Amino acid sequence: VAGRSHIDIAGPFLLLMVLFIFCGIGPPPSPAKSPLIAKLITDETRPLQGLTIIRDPRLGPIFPVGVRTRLQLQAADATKIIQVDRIRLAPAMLAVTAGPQWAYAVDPTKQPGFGAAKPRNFSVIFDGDTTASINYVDDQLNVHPASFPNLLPNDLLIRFDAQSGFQEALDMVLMSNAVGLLELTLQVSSTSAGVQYVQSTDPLRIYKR
Amino acid sequence: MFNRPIRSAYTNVSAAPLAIGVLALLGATTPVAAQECKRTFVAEIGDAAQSMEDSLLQTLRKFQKSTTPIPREVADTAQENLPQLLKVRALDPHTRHDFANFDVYLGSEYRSSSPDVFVLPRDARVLCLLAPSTTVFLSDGHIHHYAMVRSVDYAARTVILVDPWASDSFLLAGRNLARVAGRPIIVAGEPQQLELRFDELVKVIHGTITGTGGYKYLAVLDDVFNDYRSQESYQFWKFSRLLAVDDGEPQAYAATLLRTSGDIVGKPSLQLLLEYANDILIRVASGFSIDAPGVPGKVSETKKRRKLFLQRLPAYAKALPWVLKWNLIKKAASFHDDGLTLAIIDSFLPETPNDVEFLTARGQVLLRQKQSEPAVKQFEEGERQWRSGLSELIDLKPPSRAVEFYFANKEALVEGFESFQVVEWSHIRNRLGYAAALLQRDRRTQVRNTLDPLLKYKGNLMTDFFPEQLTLMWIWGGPAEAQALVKSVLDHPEWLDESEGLQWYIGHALFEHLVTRQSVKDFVKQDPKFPRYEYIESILCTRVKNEPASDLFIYCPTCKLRDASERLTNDLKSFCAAGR
Repeated sequence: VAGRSHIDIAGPFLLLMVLFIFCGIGPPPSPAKSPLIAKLITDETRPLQGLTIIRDPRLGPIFPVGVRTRLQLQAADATKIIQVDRIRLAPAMLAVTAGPQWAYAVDPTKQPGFGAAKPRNFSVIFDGDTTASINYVDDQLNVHPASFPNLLPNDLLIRFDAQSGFQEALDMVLMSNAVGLLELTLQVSSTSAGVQYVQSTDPLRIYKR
Repeated sequence: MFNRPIRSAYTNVSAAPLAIGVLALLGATTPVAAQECKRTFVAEIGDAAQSMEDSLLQTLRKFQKSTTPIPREVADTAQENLPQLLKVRALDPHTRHDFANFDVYLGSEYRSSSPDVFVLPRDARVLCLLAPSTTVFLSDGHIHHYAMVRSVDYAARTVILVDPWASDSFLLAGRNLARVAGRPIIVAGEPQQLELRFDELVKVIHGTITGTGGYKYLAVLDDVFNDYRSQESYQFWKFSRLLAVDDGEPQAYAATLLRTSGDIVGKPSLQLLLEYANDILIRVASGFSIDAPGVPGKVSETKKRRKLFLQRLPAYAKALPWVLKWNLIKKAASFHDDGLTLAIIDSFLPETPNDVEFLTARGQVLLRQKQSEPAVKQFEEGERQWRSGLSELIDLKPPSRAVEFYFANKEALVEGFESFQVVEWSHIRNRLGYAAALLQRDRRTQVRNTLDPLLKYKGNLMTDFFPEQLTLMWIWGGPAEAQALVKSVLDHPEWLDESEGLQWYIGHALFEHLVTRQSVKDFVKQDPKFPRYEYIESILCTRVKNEPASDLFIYCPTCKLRDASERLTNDLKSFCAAGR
């Protein structure tokens, strides 16, 4: 409001601080810093071959049909043992009208053909924001299915300690079968020294026409 | 004449030709009709389908490919796509180019402004068009792959693909984004195979190349995609693929259909294609003395027709598929109309300045014109573009690392990727041309450093690059060395046994040599055995008797070699007529 002084706002705040100090009430604890760093690697977050990123002025980059990405998990503190409990896929279909710049087409000549399944890769197909099929293909090309919304199959343990190492990169391809704009974050739940932590990645947006 | 040998989707598998043309005439059997199809290509070719399947398996048993891992450096950058596969077939010395390849992408999501790309919808209709040896492009949107159809079972509603990657295929359950669960068929000593249900195949089939069955394939295609028949883009695709055949008959068929069809009115791309057909079949071949079939223009109008042709070239550069452009260059070059060949290449290069084939072809014209210094520079430019192209195929920076990676891993790359076959052929042709240009400039030049690395070529350097080697030998050692090269090839009929395509390729170069450089009389004088070599009749004299090209220079008033070659041509005709 025009003309209102800073002192007006600071008054109740100062009062609160005085109460904290004289009544023995401490300030609320800041959330404990997670010993795990989880982030999507920008350089490895790419559209599917033959497609280009849609640049929307309001929403930022949108990936047509699907996206290839790499989730990097890294222990921030080498003295702690960290266990990744789950990586929750949190999709949401957004009620947004597609802009004209969202039109996309695949250039077929940019899809090189090889054949073998890609090892050490997660593949996720969303049928909307409530169901998805998830598979992990290991080094030997064995398939490990996972149950939505957890990206991790039951038999895949990710742990960070001196023996297992302090870094892990998870390559994945995420594709949407549902028409519309799907926004997705990955929520990494981990435990260290009996404390649970949750971290979310920046959102990815996938558009299917 | 209008069918293709099996050319595997896998590399280094050039197969024995199929006698499908004859077999196709035997008549159709009565296979089970597909629910989706009023008519099927398999039914159309009848018993030939079984023969094609047998030949395919026989060939693949011979050339079992090792499934080495894909190098990360090329996994996303190698150009393995349908236009590239057609380029491989056009440049492969072992392939006779007298069959049409109909390449089509499938899927409404596909778009391209390239004249090399044509798209039809991806739906169950594609099932009607499959036959043994059809190349299929498979994709789940993330992983893409090529395989070949072994058989189509309309009763069981399944397709069996031959695929060296079947046991590791992305199309097995859980490994793909299309929710397809293919069944591998792994039998010791047999090529690996993969079975898919019809509904699964339709989900993942994103393209096909059909190189067998020619007109029968087109008849079924027209029927199945009846709603597309009158579309300009569909017609352009169909006729351009017929015109891409390096053989007069299908070209003439396409030209006749274009000419007699009132359908091309208001369709500029088809009108351009008709001009192209007349250019490659008649105008260029007659030195522009004839304008079109049934329209023998006045000789006085030759210059005008040539000028009009030159004016069309920029439009050709933009609108024509690569193979048509390449064939036009080859046609002009085969008539030794050097000025015209250069004009064509120079019109095409602005659209694709890094096309190594065009650059090398330009160097060869300069070499023939004895413009040694410009030829040296031209081949050097070709080499630069070749290296720069490598850095686009191999994901390593700076570009010099891509070149190093290529030479360190050449064998695996060429074995694993068809696009790297083209890379290798382009480089060897360029280097042989470069060595010839250096020697033409100064006979004392040491070219060993240029040629030694080529000895690592895994195929037969003598046969696979015979035309370039013949030129090199002619420039370096004159008649004696050129004849020694010819002798060494003819002394090994087992090399020529390998494929009809190779015989045609060697024969064409030998014919060129004997009507432009060296008299057949000299050959016989130096080597009395020459008339009795096993392949002389089939590779040389059949051509002399049958092809109007044997009179080529007589029709070409602008050809500088006309007078000299007329004498050589007449010598060759007498030689072949003598029956030896």
